Order: sequence, then C-alpha cells, then structure tokens
Amino acid sequence: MTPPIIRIRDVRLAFDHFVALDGVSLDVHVGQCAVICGPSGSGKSSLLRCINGLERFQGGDVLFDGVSVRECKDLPKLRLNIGMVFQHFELYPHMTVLENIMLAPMK
Amino acid sequence: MDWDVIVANLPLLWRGLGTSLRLTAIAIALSFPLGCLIAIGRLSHRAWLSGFCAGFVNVLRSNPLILILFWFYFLMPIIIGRGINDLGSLIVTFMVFFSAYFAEIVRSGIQSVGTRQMQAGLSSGLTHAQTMRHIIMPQAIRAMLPALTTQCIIVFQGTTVAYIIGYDELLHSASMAAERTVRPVELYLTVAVIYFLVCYAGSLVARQFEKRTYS
Repeated sequence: MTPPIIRIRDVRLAFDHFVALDGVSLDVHVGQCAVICGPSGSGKSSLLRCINGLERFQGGDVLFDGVSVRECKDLPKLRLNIGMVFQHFELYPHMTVLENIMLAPMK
Repeated sequence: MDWDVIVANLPLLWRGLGTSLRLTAIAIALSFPLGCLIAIGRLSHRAWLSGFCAGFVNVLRSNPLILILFWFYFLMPIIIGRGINDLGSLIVTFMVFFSAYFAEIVRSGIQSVGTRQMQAGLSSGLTHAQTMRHIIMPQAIRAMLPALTTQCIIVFQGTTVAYIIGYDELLHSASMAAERTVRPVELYLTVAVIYFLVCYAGSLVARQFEKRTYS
C-alpha cells in the first residue's frame, strides 16, 4: 500500500490560552475522500490551515507527500500542489475572473 | 482697501507659493516612503519592531508640529554640537512628523483588506511579498487614496510653520510684504484666498478618489 499523501501526527495548535487542536492525527491516501466534521469552533478550518502551513502549530507535524510542512523551507512551492477552497470564497475583487484563476500559476 | 499693493507684490507671493509647494513635495516624497516602512513595521509579528514603530507614531502624533520643529531647529544643534541650516531642519521635521500620519493611513489601508485575502494568496502558492504586491497593496492603495490626498493637503498647510524660523514660504513672504507696505488686510486676505484655492483643488481631487473608491 502506498504511503498516505497527507499524514497528520499529534498536531497541537493554540491561540494564546485557547487550544484549537490538541493532538490531532489523521492519514489521507491518494484518491481517498476524507470528511472532517464537527461543531462550529471545533478546529476544522484550523486543521486545514495547518495542512498548507497557514497556521504555525506548536506541536506534532503534517507531512504532505513526505515533506514536513513544519520544516519546509519553500512553502509557496509546496502549496502549489495543495488546492484549498475557503469557507467564504476569497476572490480578489480588483481582478478579472481569468486573473483570479491565473495569478498563482503565472507567478 | 488698496489692491494695487497685491499687484506690486505678486512676484514675491508667487515665489513664496513656489517655495511652499516645493516644501510640500519634498515633505511628501520623504515622509510617505518612511511612513510605509513604519506601517509595515507596526504590522510585523516581531514584538520589538511593532512596539518601536507604535511608540514612534504615538510620540509624534501626540506633539504639535511646531514643537518638533523646535527640537530640530534649536535642540538638535546643541546635542550634535553644530548648526543645521533652515531648510535641513524643516525637511527633517516634516519627514519625521508627517511620516507618523502617513504610517497610520497605510496601516489602516492594509488592514482594511483583511487577513483572509492574505491567506488566500499564500494558499495559492504566492510568497508573502507577491501576495502583498499583487493582492493586498492594489486593494489597500485604492482604500487609502482619499485619506492620502487629504493628508497631502494637511502637509501643504503644515509648511506654514516654516514662518517661525523665517523661511521664505508663502505666509512669510506675505508677512514681509505686509510689514513693508503696512497693508496687512489686503495681503493676508490674498494669502487666505491662495491657500483656499490650492487646498480646495486638493479636496476636489480627494472627493473624486472617494467617489471612485466607494462606487
């Protein structure tokens, strides 16, 4: 069996005294559809943001295709391989539809 | 009222207006970039840097412009042990003082865009600098243009403090002419009209930016 494309190990994320993620672990394989569900404020979005390094988590690690997100020196390159859709669509209002789509691949 | 005195002193007033506009241009050209750096420093995650920049802004905004000019004109020569010329004192004063105000405008403009746009840019593979350049700054500049234009008008009005150290800007030129001709009413009224015309033209530009921003 191939190793998981996303491997989350004991991730701990806290905002000051509020602990959003406390030792979360999860494996996702290629082709697998994983659903993360929970009540509002339970840390679903925080976990997703940890996967592509938008949050600096205090403990554990996330491996994407074997690369540690925590120790990755070139996060922009890693993020090019991770698609992310935000809860509220974050379109860039000063750009056309085409520019919105083309921006990252062109830069 | 003797309005011939205005015609006779028009070259002097014209020169004074030119000096005031030059001072304004130099002050903006130096204080705006410095203000941008301070704004970026204030938004930094490094506590010492954001604290230093916040302190700089708060100290400058809590003191009158004339006092800052006194620091650089009277106190600085004592501290450094040699004199500073009038223009040098004025330029340093304007640069330091107005950079604090520009910094606040730039900071609020960047913050008005919101952190989610930053996260969207980063998550699509852009670096921090690319996200600032292509996503945050175009929106932030649009939001800050009305305030920036208004601040430029305030800088123009602020150049009148040069009068205190006898620098030949518009107000000082009018004052000299008023003393020489003993016609203060005509001259100060004319200077008021000139200041009004320049500032009102600036406020019309600001209103156009505002219309475009909120349309």
